Amino acid sequence: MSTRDRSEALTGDVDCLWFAWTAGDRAVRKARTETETPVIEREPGVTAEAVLPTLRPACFLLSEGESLRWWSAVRGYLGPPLPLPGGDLRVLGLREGDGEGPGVLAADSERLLVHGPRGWSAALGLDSAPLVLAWQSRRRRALVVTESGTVHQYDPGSGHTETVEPPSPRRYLHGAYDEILGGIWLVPADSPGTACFVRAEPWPPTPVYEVDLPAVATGLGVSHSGEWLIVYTGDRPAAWLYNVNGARSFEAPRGMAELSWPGAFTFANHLIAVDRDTAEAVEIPARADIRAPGGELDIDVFWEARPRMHRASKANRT
Amino acid sequence: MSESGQKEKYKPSRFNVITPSDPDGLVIYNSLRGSVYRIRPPADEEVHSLLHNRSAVLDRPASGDGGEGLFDTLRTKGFLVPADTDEDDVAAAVSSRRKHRRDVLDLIIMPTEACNFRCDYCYEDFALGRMLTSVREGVRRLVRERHAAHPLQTLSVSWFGGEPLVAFEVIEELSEFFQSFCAENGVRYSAGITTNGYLLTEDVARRCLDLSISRYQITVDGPRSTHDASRYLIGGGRTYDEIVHNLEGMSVLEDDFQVTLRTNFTEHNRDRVPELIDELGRRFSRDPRFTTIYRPVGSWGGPQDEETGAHSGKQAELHKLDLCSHAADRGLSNGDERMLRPNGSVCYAASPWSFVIRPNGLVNKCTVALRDQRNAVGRLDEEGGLNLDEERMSLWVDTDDTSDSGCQSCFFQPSCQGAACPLVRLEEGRRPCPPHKVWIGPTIETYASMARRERERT
Repeated sequence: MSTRDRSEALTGDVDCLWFAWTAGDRAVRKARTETETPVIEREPGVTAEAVLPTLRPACFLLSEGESLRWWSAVRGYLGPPLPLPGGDLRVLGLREGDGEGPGVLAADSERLLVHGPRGWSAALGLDSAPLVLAWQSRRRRALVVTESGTVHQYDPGSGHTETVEPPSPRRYLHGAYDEILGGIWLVPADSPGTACFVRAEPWPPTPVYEVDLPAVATGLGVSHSGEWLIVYTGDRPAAWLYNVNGARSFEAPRGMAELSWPGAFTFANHLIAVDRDTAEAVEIPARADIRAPGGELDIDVFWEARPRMHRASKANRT
Repeated sequence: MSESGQKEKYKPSRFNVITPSDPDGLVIYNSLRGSVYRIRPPADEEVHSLLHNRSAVLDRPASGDGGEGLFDTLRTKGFLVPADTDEDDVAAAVSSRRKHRRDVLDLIIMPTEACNFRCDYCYEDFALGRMLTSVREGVRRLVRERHAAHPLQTLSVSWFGGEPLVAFEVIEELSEFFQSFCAENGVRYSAGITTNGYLLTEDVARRCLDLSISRYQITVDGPRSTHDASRYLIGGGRTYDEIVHNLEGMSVLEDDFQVTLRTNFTEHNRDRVPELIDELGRRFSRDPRFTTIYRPVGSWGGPQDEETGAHSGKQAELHKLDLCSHAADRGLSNGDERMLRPNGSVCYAASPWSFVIRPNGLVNKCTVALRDQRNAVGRLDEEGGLNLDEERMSLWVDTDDTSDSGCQSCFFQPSCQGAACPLVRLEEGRRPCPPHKVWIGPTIETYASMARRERERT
């Protein structure tokens, strides 16, 4: 999700409990996702061109024109708007967003920018457009991955940066950071039906393996459990779920793939999909590879009393 | 003689166990003291004659009669007790002291249920992510409120998951609070972690020690090939070398900590475990901070129960003891002996001051039955309230020896108090005797033999 992304992309808060999104009318919607059917609310008078992620609970950054503004799904706007540098930016609001240190990170194709008490400044140079701007929570570092596969690490506390360039000239189209395995999934330009996994922890980043995706990807997401990739296709179905542990693919269930934004994972492992003012949520088993014996994602049977699980397949990668 | 001139009467403690020792002599154990002794010939016959008849009433031999030294030793070690002692009362008091403590709070905190491993035998479903911000605030307030209501002497925290180090930032955040709160309020703080060890790099280990995490349980299942076959990363990926590298990193630190290396064995991998023991012995035998334990893989409710070769019963227990013995011969300490001590075999779930805090604030008693409604005993709110369901709490803390006449007459009562596994009582309606109690003879014989060989080596 970037400042010029005009899709209905769902943005989750740091807890993956609150989600917010906008549509062509620029009205901001929010939903708290503790229930099977999320209750969607429009925020009167709150508009944005894009809803961007932060590391603060229930908080988002709203971009509109040349400004960026902290907004809480519980408390409304937080403080005055910040000036937003031009260009197509990936943005991340930090946890100490209103404190003395850096509050917002933004990356364009040339620089990683940091917004602090004295405005914007460049933290490091980038060689191409950023595919991923993510936060390594347990390392307290920001991670930037560009189209060249170059991986940058930035410590907002010390300002320290590290950069590792990939060994090959390959280019990449999409990426997603997986907190659980501590690595990055990247879709190569020369093979958009596959995804490479690059382990970024421990440093330095190391390519580990490549998997076949069920379709050519136009975007990539990852569940907080690390168990699922969401493969966006921009087609019908608009999303597939790829189970990392079982190396198996499933269509997003119950027609969710037909909605205009087909999915993000909530804290409690529900897949939520939205279409302007409607939403669907369904619980996805975190270990579906062993609970779905066939090709169908038969989600209703998984949480019965034990013995309740059975293995259908096992990936043989070692 | 007593001051009144009457001979003092004694009886064998009902908490004694006597078993023959290999190649000769006896091993004796008392569960109220948690002590195990090997008695060599010729004293073994005299000890046997004093202790074997539980209903005997014995006079202390007079000074100069011979035998009073042995008698007094057995008396001071608790194997002989005054004849008028009501040992049922004594055992009840041990249990009561544990259950009615209000000065201790034991939190098993799951900073996340996500895990970077997909072990074959794992029963968890990894459904919940990193602990919610509001739940973290609830944990802090819970500690404050508890201390305000009944001053705490001890706060004990066990980090569990999922893989807790996946959400290390939650551990850091809460640990810093626990440390400062306990320091300011004179509360003793201790912490441990159950981790797969993959993310426990030297820098993380140093930080954990800074955060007062001093107890570590890390699982290594056999040598590299068997470990990597059952404990692999999501999607595949070897883990053994990384874990052993991290353990070696810990061993060079000078801090005071305790690492328990756990090995889960099945019928499939058990013959390879001695290879692991040999390797661990080469690396850690001179470091008393590293101990080992062995556990047969049970039917824990995971997806591959039938495939993993889960086993139980006498053969599994005897194999466990063989592994303990092999480890001792390689200079690795046994981490299981505490289970023979008073309270040593009581499950944490049976104590009313012990709670599992899930990432969404759900309060459980047991870390196994995570989807069982009876285990959902409360819900931690942001104000620190546990909102306990007393009826469900009672299922875990009251179904023990107080309601079981078999437990009340058992020699092992002080150690397990009928509460070795409340889940077994709940699910199967049977007495949850721990395996080391069922096969107490081989257990204490093995421990005594290990101790003897250790003495001979040193």
